[in-house]
Amino acid sequence: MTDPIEISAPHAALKSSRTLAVSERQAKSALARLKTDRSGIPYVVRFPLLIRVLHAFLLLSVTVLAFTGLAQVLHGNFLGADMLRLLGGLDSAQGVHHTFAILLGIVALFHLLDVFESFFVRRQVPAMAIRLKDLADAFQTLKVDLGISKKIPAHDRFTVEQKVVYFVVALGFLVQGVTGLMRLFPIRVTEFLPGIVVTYAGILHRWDAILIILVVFIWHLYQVHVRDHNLSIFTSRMTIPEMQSVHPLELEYLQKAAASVGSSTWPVKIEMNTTEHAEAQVKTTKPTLPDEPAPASTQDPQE
Amino acid sequence: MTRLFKPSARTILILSAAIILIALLGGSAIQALANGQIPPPAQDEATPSGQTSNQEINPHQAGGCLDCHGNPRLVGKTIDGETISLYIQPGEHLGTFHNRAGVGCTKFCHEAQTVYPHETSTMDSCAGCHWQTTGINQAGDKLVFNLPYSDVRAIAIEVNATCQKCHTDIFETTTDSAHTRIFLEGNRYAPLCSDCHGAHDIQKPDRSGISGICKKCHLAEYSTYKGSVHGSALEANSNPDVPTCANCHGSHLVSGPTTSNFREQTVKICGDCHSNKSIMDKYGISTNVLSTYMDDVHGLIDWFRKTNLENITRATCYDCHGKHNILSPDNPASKVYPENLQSTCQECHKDTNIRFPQTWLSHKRVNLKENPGLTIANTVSWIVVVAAAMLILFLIGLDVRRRLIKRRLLEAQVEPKVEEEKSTDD
Repeated sequence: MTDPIEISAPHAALKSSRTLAVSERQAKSALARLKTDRSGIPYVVRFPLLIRVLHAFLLLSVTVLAFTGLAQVLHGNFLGADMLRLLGGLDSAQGVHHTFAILLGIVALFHLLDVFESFFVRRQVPAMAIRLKDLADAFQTLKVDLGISKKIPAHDRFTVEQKVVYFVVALGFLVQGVTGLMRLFPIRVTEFLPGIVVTYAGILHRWDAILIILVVFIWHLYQVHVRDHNLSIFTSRMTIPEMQSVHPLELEYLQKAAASVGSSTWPVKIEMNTTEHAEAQVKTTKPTLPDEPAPASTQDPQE
Repeated sequence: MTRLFKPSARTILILSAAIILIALLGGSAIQALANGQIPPPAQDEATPSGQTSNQEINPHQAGGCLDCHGNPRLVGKTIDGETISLYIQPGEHLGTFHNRAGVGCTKFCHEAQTVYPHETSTMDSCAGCHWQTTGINQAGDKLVFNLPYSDVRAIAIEVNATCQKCHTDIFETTTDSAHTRIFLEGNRYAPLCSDCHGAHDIQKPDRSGISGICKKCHLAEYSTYKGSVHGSALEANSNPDVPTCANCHGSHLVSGPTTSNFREQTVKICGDCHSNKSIMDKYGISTNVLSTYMDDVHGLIDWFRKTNLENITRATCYDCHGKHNILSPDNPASKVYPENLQSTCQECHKDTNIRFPQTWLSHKRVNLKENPGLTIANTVSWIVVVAAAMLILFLIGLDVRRRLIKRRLLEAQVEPKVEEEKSTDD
């Protein structure tokens, strides 16, 4: 089943121009993502169903893999022994570990298919693609964190921190997959590689797993779910103030693209103004509408 | 009153010494006779020499055990017709720790035989002894007594039960052993106490003689063991450092080698010696074999022990090094000699190729000296992960700090406004 919501934002343009050309399909999609709930509070549909389902399976598989993996790494102390006992012993723990590794592989496969379809069929640059602006944003974020500046960079669909997490974890999963399979099938590997490679793979698998656990369960958990109270990956919705706070560029695009629906000529060119916002605006909890005229909203069919 | 006898000091000393000597000799003789250790000086017409003694000793009356059992011609015959010599060599029992502890023939072991003549042992005719009178038997013929046992083994089984009177703890330990198990399953020839320890000449086993005891039943295993690095050292010079059968299999609680319990214990059995620096240094053997095994893939066995949930399926020491045929890794016939490793691995990993054994670290530690490449990889990985952790914590710390400062500023802005509103209301 195809998700009716197409994620298209400024990143959809192959050029990182300040002026964007929006097609009718993109404009309609943007309009479909701007909704109002039953209480009359406007919100943005941030993630389509496929992404949310994949994230749910990702969360499940990574949690189980981390637990079953740590149980094996920590076998030498009481904690690991208890974890193993909870899992029903070593063979059982390894069985669960391998099963959820396969699940993670399937999640990764679906995600890659989604990215390829987006890039090669819909001709869109993935939102997660790294741009020069990200480097500038990273420096600016650091300056804000250090108290040197108060101007928070305006983030697009993903913040620079989210992108770092994504690529560290994606690369980490690739390493985990390769080294894990090498450990699982050492005889096949040694048919064409020296045996010591399997031992190196074991070391890499272990440390890479710890790195992923740190990045996912500390950094990602803090910056998205604790700091920004952002649960849109589960609920799919993000209020306008929340969008203004964390993803102002995406919000600006959605509102301007949605406003262009009904135009007689396509593509419509929209001008992006937002570059940064002052720190004082961060975490405005009161749901205020933007200065610009509110776009036509549609009721969320899921509610 | 005048004393008739006035002994000098020298006389008193001589007399005292004489009395003490007589008392000691007399006491020892009485004790020895009670234990049946001293053969009777009397000989009747049934003596091996066939000559009648002048002394009046009646063999039909109670005497020392060796009065009769000191006769090499004394033989017992079981119901099945099996015969057993009932002769006890004079002095055979003397050197035993049983004798030193005061355990005699009828004390604890043969209590049923305190009555003489033994009620249950009979002879077919008087001619066995009184050959000169009857003229039936000849001097030197066996003196055959009928025994109330089905066969010779039944005697050993009955006497074996008496060991527990003193050796209760050890006897109870044996009840869980593999030997007792097969005995209870019906094998009457499963080892009893006396099969390993002997009977009348019972001695504490000497470790160099243990394998000789076991080989009585386990000859094939002994033959293999004799050629191993352990067995050959024991055979050559009674090396005190190498394990005998009992070191691995136990003594009274002999565990079956096919049980999961024995498999679990193997690492400890081998590790106890191979982690002992004082022993291993003599032979230039690394004491890291146990720790490196635990850290290596096969050391998953440790996890089993801790989780205590599954049977061990991973390779343990003897799977690679062999059991009774353990050889030095430098010996080309060893299962772990580099050229033989592939076939050894194939015992578990069927399709193993020539490069597969390289996946195993050969008990080498991950340090710069023994495994520089792995050590560098491990250290670099550690540095990267620790640096990443510090960076993450640093960024989170900066963010928390910034937010706390901002909250304080916002609170400072809100408070004057509230006060302002209050004053306006007034």
